[in-house]
Amino acid sequence: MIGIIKRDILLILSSKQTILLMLFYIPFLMILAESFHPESFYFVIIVLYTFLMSMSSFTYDISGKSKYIMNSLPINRKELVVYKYLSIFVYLGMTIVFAGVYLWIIHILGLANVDYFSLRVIKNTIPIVMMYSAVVFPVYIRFEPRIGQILSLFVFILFFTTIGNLSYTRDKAILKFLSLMKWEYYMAIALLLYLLSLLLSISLYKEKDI
Amino acid sequence: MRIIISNSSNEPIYEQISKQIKAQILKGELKEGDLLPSIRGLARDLQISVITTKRAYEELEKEGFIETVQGKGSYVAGQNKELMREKKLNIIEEKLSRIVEESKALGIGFDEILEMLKILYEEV
Amino acid sequence: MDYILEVNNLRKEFKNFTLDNISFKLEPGYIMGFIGPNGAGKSTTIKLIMNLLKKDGGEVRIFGKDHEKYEKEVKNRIGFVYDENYYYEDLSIRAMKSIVASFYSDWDDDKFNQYLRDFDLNPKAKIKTLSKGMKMKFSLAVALSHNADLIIMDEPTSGLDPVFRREVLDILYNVIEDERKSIFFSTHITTDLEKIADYITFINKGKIVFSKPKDEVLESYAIVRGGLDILNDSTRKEFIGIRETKVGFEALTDNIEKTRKTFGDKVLIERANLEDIMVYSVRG
Repeated sequence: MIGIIKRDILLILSSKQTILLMLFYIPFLMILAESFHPESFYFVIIVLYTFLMSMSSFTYDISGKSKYIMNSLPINRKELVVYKYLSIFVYLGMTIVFAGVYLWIIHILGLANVDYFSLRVIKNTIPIVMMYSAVVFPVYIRFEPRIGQILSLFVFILFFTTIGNLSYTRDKAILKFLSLMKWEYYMAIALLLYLLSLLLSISLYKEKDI
Repeated sequence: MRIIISNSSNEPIYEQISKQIKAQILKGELKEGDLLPSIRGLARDLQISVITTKRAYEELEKEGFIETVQGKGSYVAGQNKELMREKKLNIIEEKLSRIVEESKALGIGFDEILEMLKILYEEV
Repeated sequence: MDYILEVNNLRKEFKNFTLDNISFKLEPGYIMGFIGPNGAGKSTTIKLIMNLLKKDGGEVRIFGKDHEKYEKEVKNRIGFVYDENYYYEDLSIRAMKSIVASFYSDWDDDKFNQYLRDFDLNPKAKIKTLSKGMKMKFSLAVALSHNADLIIMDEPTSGLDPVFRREVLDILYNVIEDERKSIFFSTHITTDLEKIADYITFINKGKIVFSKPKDEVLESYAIVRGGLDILNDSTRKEFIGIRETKVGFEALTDNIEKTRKTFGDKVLIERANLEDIMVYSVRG
């Protein structure tokens, strides 16, 4: 399994496209959002980058042309799927470090008011990333890559509009419900979805024609 | 050791091999106890299938020209002087019977053949 | 009998094509050539063997083990070379190797580097800069550097020049000197197999036409040439395929004795090569 992690990191670092994307996305987003809450911005960056990295890793093994090579190596399909699910945490870690350094530099240079590290935000990204993967991964496995991409984009946008709406809502009932939800509850739901999705993905991938 | 095969000949390759090895044994170019190339090594050198060389060696073993020791290889078998003579005679006999057949078909009589044989024996 | 590769009644259904009743066996120490026209099902069969495609029926045993149940174990001892070698374009040969090597338990780095030297490949070169031939050589180097006992190749030499193809054959000859190893080699370039193959399996339209020792195949078929005057409906049936022209006909027979008896001197009978056999069998 370490082999695959090593490979993914190597691939991400060697693709000029990905590197450029990673470098310019932050300033791009900063320009796009005229005023932003530093914490929300940090949150978005973490989730977005983790998402980008895990999706690109999918193409190498499951939807891209190199899938023939990958699946001909001595690795069983279950392992491959489990690895995909676990790797989101690796990417999360990498993103936290990368974004942390990047934003810290921006902060030091006084270019903008940004948060470069917040434990609270990180805690919140974990269930989000898990739930997101839980929904998108099986779709990617089951359907053609293009459909997978469209659907995952759709889900992503849905996620963010929902969260955005929720954070601005005045509805008392919803607010009350949200105040009752503790992080632990979110994590429990996320974990459940994540594990169910893992089982689903394993059985989907097992029967898939590469 | 020398084995040359022809791809365009109608004779099967395994036969070409066994014939050539046979001839070398009978002529004494290959002596008793000499180690023959391995089946795989020979296949590689001649660029042919392993099954072909195997077959050639099996033929040779059947006719008593070679012996195969598991794990070691194939050796030229000890040739009993009488048996060798007999084998040599067999080869000539085979060729002669073909000549006889064809002569009869072409209508050439025994005396004419004998004459020819005499001349050739002196010339060649 | 311990087979290194055993395929029994393999079956796969697609929308427009069905692969059916595919069976053949390969013992250790031999090379099997897998021939057939384009679209016959060669690549599909190989993908099924490698469990890239899910079979609808049948069984595949490699090294005596079921290829799905023991997938990882089995693949650890298989070296593969495909027609399109989709390695990661942005990586260097060296980087690609380090990724692949980590999956195999028996990786031999010295051997790999030796192959790179023999093939004249620069380890620092990026995969996207390699020509088709060089990519194939790289694939081959990888396939031969982890002590694989079964080498599976899917049209590895298509699109490559004869000089290079001969080099590949030489390498395969070296591999097969170890009698525990076997090679399964699919191609539509039959001349490559004419020399080296021990067995030939011929597939057409998703079905196995025959699977026999190459010598036997070449001995049982022949090309028959003669004048049109001796052809009629009943004699035409004797042949597997006929090509008729204004000046005569050329046909393939799988029963040389019968042909000789039927036609005697009126026809010319010659050795058929694999290409003849394939073309006439397919064309009819």
